[in-house]
Amino acid sequence: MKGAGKIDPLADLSPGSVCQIVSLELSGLLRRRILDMGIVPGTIIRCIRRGPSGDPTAYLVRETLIALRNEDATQILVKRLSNGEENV
Amino acid sequence: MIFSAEKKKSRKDQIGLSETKSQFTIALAGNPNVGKSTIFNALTGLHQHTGNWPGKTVDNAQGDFQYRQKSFIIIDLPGTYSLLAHTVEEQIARDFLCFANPDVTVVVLDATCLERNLNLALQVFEITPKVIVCLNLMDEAQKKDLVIDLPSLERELGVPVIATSARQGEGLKELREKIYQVATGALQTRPRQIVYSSDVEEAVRDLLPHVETIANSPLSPRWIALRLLDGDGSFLDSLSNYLSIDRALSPGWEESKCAH
Amino acid sequence: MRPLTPSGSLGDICGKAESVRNSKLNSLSDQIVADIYGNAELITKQVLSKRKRI
Repeated sequence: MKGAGKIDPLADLSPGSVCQIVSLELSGLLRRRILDMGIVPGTIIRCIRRGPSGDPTAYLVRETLIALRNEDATQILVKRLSNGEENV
Repeated sequence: MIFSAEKKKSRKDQIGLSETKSQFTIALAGNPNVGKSTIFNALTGLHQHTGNWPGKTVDNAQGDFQYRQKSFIIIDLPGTYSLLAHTVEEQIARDFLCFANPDVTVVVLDATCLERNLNLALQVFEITPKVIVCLNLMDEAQKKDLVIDLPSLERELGVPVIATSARQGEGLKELREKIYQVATGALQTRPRQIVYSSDVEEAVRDLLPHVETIANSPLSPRWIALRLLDGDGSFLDSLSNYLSIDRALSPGWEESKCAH
Repeated sequence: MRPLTPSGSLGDICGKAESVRNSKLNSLSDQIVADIYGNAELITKQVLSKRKRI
C-alpha cells in the first residue's frame, strides 16, 4: 500500500473527494461502531459536505450518508483516489 | 452469581411465548428504518401487543396471525445494523436468534441500500438456516432507478427473496405464503455462508476442535469459534447462561462482560 | 482488549481463543467485520445495476 497514494486523515478531505480507507486508529466501542457501519480497510468513502460550523462532516459510505465528527475522522487514515476541487 | 433453573429457560419462555405444536415462531429482523414495523403491522393487523424485553428498556412487539389453518407468532426484533452485539439492541436480536430457535427468520432489507443491509442478512445466515429475505422499499428503489436482479440475488443468497413495497401493501401475500412454506418445511433453504480471509479461517480451524467439546449447544461450533475469536464477551455471557455452565463461573467471569 | 477469563471448560476454550487471537499480526475482529462487508459488496455488485434515463 505504501507509496501507492498519499496517506491522509479522513478529516483532511474536502467535499467531493473520494478516498479508500487504509486503517482506523480508533479504539474501543467507537472503533467497533465505525467498523459496523461498514467503514473498514479497503472501503471507498466520499466526502459530501461539512456541517454548518465545519463539523461534523457527511460522508457517503456504501450508499448511505454517515456523519462523523472531525475529531474521529482525524483518526481514520485514507488513501486519496480523487480530489474534490479538481473534479468539480 | 447464582444460576437458578429459571435461567435455563429458553428466550421463548422468557418473553412469555408458550409454544404449541401447531404454532410457528417467526422472527422479524432488519436495519432501523427499513419498514419493518409496516410489515409487522401488515402481517398481524391488530393482533399484537407490546412490552419490554426482559430486564431491558427496549421495546418488544409480538403479534400473531393465522394462515392456512396454521398459527404464527411474530416477534419484531430491535432494528440493528449488525449482530456483533456492540449495543443492547444487537445483543437482544442475536440472543433471540441464537437461543429462541425461531421457525423462520424474515430479514427485511432496504432495497435502496442493499450492500449495508446484506451485511446483517449474512450475519443472520450464520446463525439460522431458515431465513427469508424480504426486499422492502422496492418503490423507493425504482424511483432511484435502481434495478435488482431478483433471481440472481436469490441464487447468491440461497434463500427465498420476496420483493415488497409494504406501505403500498405490495408483496405481502407472497411473503405470507413463503413464511408458511419455510415454516412447514415445504421449502428448504440453504443460506450462503461467509468464507473469511485466510487468517480468520486458519484461526477457526485451530479453535474448532476445542469448541466442539461444548456439548448440547444448539449453535454451530463454527459460529461459536468466530465469536470467541471476535473477543465477544457478551456472547460468552449469553452462551454460558444458556448452557448453565455455573461451575465454570468465577469472579474473573465478570470481566468478560466488558471485554472490549 | 481485556482478556476473557471465565474458568472451567468454557474458560479453557476462551484461553485457547485468546492465544489464537494473539498469535495473529492483525486484529481478527476487524478482519471478520471487513470480510462480512466484503461478501455483501460482492453480492451487491452482481445483482445491482442502475437504469439509465433516456
